[in-house]
Amino acid sequence: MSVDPYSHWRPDQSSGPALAQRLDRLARRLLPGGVTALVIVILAAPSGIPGATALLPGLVMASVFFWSVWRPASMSAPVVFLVGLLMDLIGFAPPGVDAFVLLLLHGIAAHTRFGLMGLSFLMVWVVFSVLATAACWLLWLLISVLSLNAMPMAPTVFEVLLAVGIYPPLAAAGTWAHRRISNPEPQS
Amino acid sequence: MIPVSIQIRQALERVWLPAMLLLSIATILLGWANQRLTNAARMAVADVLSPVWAVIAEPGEQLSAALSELRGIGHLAQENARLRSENETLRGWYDVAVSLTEENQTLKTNLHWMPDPVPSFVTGRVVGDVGGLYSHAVLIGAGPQSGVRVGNVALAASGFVGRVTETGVHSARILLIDDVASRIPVTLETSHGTAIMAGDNSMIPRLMYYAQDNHPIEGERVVTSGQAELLPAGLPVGTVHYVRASTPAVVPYARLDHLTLLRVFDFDSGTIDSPDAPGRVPVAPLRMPDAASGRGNPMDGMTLGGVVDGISGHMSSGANGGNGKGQSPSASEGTNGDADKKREDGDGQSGMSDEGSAGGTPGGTPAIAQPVPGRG
Repeated sequence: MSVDPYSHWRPDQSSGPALAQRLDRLARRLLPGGVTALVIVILAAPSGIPGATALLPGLVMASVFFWSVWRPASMSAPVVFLVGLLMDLIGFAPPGVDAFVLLLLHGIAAHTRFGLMGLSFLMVWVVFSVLATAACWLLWLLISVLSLNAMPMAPTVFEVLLAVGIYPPLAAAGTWAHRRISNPEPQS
Repeated sequence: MIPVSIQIRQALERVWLPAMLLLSIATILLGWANQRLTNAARMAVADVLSPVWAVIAEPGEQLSAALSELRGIGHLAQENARLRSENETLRGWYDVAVSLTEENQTLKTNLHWMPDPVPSFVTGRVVGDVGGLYSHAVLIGAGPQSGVRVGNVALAASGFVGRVTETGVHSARILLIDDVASRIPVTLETSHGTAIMAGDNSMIPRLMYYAQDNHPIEGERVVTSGQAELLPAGLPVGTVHYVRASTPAVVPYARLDHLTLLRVFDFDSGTIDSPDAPGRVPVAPLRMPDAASGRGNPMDGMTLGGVVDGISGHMSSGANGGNGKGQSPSASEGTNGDADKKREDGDGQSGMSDEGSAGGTPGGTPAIAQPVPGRG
């Protein structure tokens, strides 16, 4: 490829993107994980929102699932782990439990992403509902086993319903952010 | 991104997920095996985040206050009429309360009532809801620096809320009474029964282990019981309500889902020791001046925490409490037969306790002393 001598644009192959560009890319990469962490922190404040504690797992699951399918570079496994650990530490759950369940969800979503991306929104929602239900009950099982005490089941049902219900608005917001904020992945 | 070849990057991406899954399993096992480390990590996170939460909660509180004010404006006349009638009722109750207090005071004087030690307390703002889905707990912005310790009792304006389970540097976690892990011994005021109030993650904790021939009565008051030395007796908890037939529950006075300010009391109940062995007669207990000098003192029991501070306050309150509750049988047989709280254990701490301030000279002959046979 020959360089046009009259062009002001000189592709400098050796140095790669400039520092500002890299920082910008990094910020965009960390945005979904950062927003999720921020939501976890904010929902733990005494805001008076009814059902905030039951809403949180569904919200985080929907966020992890959405970004794992549409942009796994922004929701990588370490980010998912850190988000889950933060959730455990703030919620005084057995540490690592949320991280484990979210990582499983992330793994399934990231591995089947090319199949999921071809499906219609409704089908993706159904798939997410099945996965979120399984994740909530796995969470219930793990917490019950680790505390050697069968936890009440009613909050889990509530949690599942909220997780299923929160996905469409979150997916709409995520799609907007996905289109608006350009692809942070290296152009490929 | 650090520039690496595509092959290495793909290999790394394949390794990340299993590595993180293993790490999370390791975290689960480590957290399960080492609870102290887990608690330290949690409270460190809570300490860092509690100022953030306090800032976040501020506009919400102002908003809700403004909203309730707006709502109040609509019903001003109605509210005024209601308050007027309530005020009439309360005026009547005030007279009743004054006369009852007088009577209670007289009765207590006649009975040589042992005053409870006055608890110290700190008030903290609820800065975080750290419960999660399967537990109910709140974080307050007061820690060991302000005197909050594990095991202290938290009260909202209207009633008992929970106990401090973990403390950080400047925050403390309070396990609420509706948590599944909460078991509180309570007394039912009308039926005089005892029961255990067990949280079950709903807003109304169940009552368990009540006597089968003395069922809780719908609507009766529930207060804490002094058993198990966990809590002082008589803190208001709530009222009995039957959710279904034969499943009594407690409707707490405090609104457990909207807690804003909590008072954390240090009742220091651990200093009340039970007697060593039943029927043991203490060797030559010291008879200090007759209680006539001490009983009229309205500051009885109040001087311990305020005047004599530090260790001496704890020591003297412990000695008094032990004498009063533990050794009253021996007092009736070994001494003059009057339950006397102004006794001490011989030569120890006579200068430190409130005895010295009440009139006796430390270690010397008290002012109104009567001859004490056992003193040598």
